[in-house]
Amino acid sequence: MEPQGLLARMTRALRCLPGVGPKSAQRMTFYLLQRDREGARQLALAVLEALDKVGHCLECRTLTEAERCAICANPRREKSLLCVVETPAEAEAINEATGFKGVFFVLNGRLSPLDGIGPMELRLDLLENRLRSGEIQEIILATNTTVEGEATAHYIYEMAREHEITISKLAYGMPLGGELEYVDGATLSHAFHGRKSV
Amino acid sequence: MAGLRQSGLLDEGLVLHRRAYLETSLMVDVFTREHGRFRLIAKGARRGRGPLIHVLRPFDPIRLSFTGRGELKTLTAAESLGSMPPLQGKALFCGFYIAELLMRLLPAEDAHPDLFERTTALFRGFGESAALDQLLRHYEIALLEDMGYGLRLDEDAEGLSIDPQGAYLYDLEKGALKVQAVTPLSVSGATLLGLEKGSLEGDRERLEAKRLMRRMVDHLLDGRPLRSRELFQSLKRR
Ligand SMILES: [Zn+2]
Repeated sequence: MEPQGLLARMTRALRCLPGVGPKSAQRMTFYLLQRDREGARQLALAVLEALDKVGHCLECRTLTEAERCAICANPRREKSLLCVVETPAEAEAINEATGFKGVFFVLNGRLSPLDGIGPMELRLDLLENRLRSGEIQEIILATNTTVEGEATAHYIYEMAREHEITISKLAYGMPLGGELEYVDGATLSHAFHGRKSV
Repeated sequence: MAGLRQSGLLDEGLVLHRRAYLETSLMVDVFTREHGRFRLIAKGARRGRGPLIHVLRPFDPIRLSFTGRGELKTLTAAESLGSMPPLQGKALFCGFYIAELLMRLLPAEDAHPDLFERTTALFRGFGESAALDQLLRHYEIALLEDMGYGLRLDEDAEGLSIDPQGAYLYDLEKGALKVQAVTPLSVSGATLLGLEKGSLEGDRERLEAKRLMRRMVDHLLDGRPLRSRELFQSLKRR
């Protein structure tokens, strides 16, 4: 039987955090209750309020507390240029690293029939509406190179192909500064099959 | 790879599916030559720069060792068995379909060595051939046969040779029954003979063969829908 009481309950709850096992959860419980009760209260309130108020952006489906996220609400962003990613974190990463001036569509997952995830779960109907509206001229597929990510990219490619849109896909290949010998087989195979003429 | 001699049972297998498990591990469904289909945990496969996550790629052939007596086994080592060109486009969706079929139809830990060989060849064929339809039909026939439903495609239920011009209803128990009139469920003799030979000539034959095999496969599934087929159909409506 699991231990009862508030201490045990708090420890169990903390284990939902990524990378937190029973030992570190217990350490966190004691730390918060002994050393930083105010910090703990702020944490609890912030989690509750975020849970209440953060939802998905009406346009791109990323996480935001507003109706539209900062990127979609920004009039200087090019609405005709759309980058499709699997997660909000990937949208963030591309936004920061590349100087991308367009907008995103966040799938919050990828097609995986064996896990019961189909086009509706990814809200591809919303993407379809945007394609139909004619505002998008170019679409960049930035899903992962897993089989599910590739299948998702193919599916969206087929959706977008009906409309007259430029479609591109991220190039995956050798890591910068990588030496062939040290690159794993899958990456090497991908880089090899996706080689470009020079 | 020294690890493969380390511990547990050795086998060759195909990865059917994998999903994240806890923080750093993977839960992997495999179809192996000698131990059939089962599920195992690849501990730490998503951690750091470990190569395991790249080896455990769906539809790729691997050599693996594992331990455990229960339903859920533990992977102790795995290495790639030759690199196949990554599946692309429609072939990926065909891969999902085959993986879902095998996960539904094969009882756990029941060896099907012939079917294993055919599945390996099929996945390789997906990467090399454009005639995905033909490959699938051929495989479905082999799958049915392996499940104890060998199809009789060169003669009808009475033992007469199939007439290419004739119309037939195929009954999984009885075989091909000749009918006088073409109906939505009937198939032409040419389609049956094409399936037998493994080469379907016309569009009509291909469509009839697809519908026929679909009915047969559905029979094995007891009518439970396949998510991968729904996805494939919604892709084709594009
Ligand atoms: Zn947005």
